[in-house]
Amino acid sequence: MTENTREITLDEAKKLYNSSEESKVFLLSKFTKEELEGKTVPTQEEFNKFFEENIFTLIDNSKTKFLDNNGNVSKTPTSRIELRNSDDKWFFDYNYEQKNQHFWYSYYRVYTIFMTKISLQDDDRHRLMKSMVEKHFNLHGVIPYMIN
Amino acid sequence: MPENTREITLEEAKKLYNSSEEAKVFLLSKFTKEELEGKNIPTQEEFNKFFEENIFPLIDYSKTKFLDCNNGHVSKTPTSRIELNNSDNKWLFDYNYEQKNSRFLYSYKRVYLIFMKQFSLHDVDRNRLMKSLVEKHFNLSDIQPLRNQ
Repeated sequence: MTENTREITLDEAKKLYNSSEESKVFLLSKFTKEELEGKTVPTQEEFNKFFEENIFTLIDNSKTKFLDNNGNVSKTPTSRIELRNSDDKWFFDYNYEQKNQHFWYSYYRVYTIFMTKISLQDDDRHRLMKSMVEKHFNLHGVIPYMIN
Repeated sequence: MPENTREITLEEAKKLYNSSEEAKVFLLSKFTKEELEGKNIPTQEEFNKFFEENIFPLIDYSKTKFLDCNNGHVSKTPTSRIELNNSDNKWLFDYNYEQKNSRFLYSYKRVYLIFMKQFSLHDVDRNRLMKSLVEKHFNLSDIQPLRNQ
């Protein structure tokens, strides 16, 4: 730091951020929007907690379906499971069979819920979802995809 | 074959089997009860079909539960340990698809007794047939299904 420069901390910048448009523009040249507006990437624990408290609680286990390879409801148990809400709308569709493993989550009923609350870049979303699926569904090596 | 001995086929033995108590005792020394009474070991297809028609229809999917993998208590969140129950909320199957802790349990009272009434199976045949059934329907490989109370 030279004689003519001074430090500004993130806390100081946050206080100044909404004081004027000029301050906002200036501070955005020094810090990211996420830093200044407090939208930080959640930790894995926070992300999991959000799912446990806000998404999984919407699942109605009595609506659980077992699907065949074509995605139709099967009369016999299968390795492809669909979890639904009380309105019989799907939330998660996954197959634990090693060869055909997949994990899909609903754009409307899962993705939009957590993205409203936690604005995530794709990279962070993939990483957090992958780890959440490993923890809760014990599915390893599968990349969760959102589906309409 | 020595000069003083003759062959008796299973077909011949079956015809003779119920003719007298002496014949029965004698033939049971030559053949198994299952062979003589026609209780053949089912093929895998027959065994699977029996499950599809008689056991799986007993499952009430609305009673499906996800269990805590560690203590077996009902979990509020999805897990890899699944319990399939009948309409009385009594368990039929309890399995965990997680690779490290994979296992498959079936109920003694509500599964084992039903299929054993139909097919009188030796342990080795029962284990083989159950293993293959679980591979086909549950896509769980390399698991030896176990019956549990």
